[in-house]
Amino acid sequence: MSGRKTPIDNIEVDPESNSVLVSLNPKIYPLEIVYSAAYAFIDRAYVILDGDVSEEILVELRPKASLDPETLGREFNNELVNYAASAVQSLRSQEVRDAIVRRAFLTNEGASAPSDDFRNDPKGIANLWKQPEQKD
Amino acid sequence: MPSVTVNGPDRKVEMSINLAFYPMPKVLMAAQDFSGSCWVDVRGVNSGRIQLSIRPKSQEQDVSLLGHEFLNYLLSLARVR
Repeated sequence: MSGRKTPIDNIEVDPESNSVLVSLNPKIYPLEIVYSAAYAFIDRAYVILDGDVSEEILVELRPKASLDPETLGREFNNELVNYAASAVQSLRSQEVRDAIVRRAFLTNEGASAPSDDFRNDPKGIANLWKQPEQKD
Repeated sequence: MPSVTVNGPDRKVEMSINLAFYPMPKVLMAAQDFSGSCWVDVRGVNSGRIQLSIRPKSQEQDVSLLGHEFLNYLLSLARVR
């Protein structure tokens, strides 16, 4: 890809095809995070994933509208950070969420189960009603 | 990088897809979904990549971005495990 690349940046712009290539370290951004960020971009850009899952993930973004590819690449980096941060946060709060759900399920544990008394018909509900005989 | 080659005169898009990112069942699902509007040809797997070509059935359909539309759709399927 004939573009410009600086040692710091992980993005490479190809003006010819109006696309940007973002290189990612899978140890920092696991594939699930990359999928989520890439999916968030499919309404704005054409996204292609390639590379090596364990060494280097390559994401090619080609804007659909007249967007600057470099900006798109930088926005993608930001989106990755968002998803990675929310994944970490979700992992941290996992224990609390589990505890809340466990507590919710335990709430009704002490309640008594309905008894089988109704089968004995203690109030005589099943008896047919009869007109009482009139006494003269 | 994946090659998305548009063959203008043949109105055909050829793609080489990395199966590490796009699992084979998802590629086949996407191919099936596109088979209504396109002629899809899924070819052999070579060193972890699958070769696939699609050609629109209708003459009016734009072929230039068809491959990228396919890959975006494939991504939406692939992200759901």
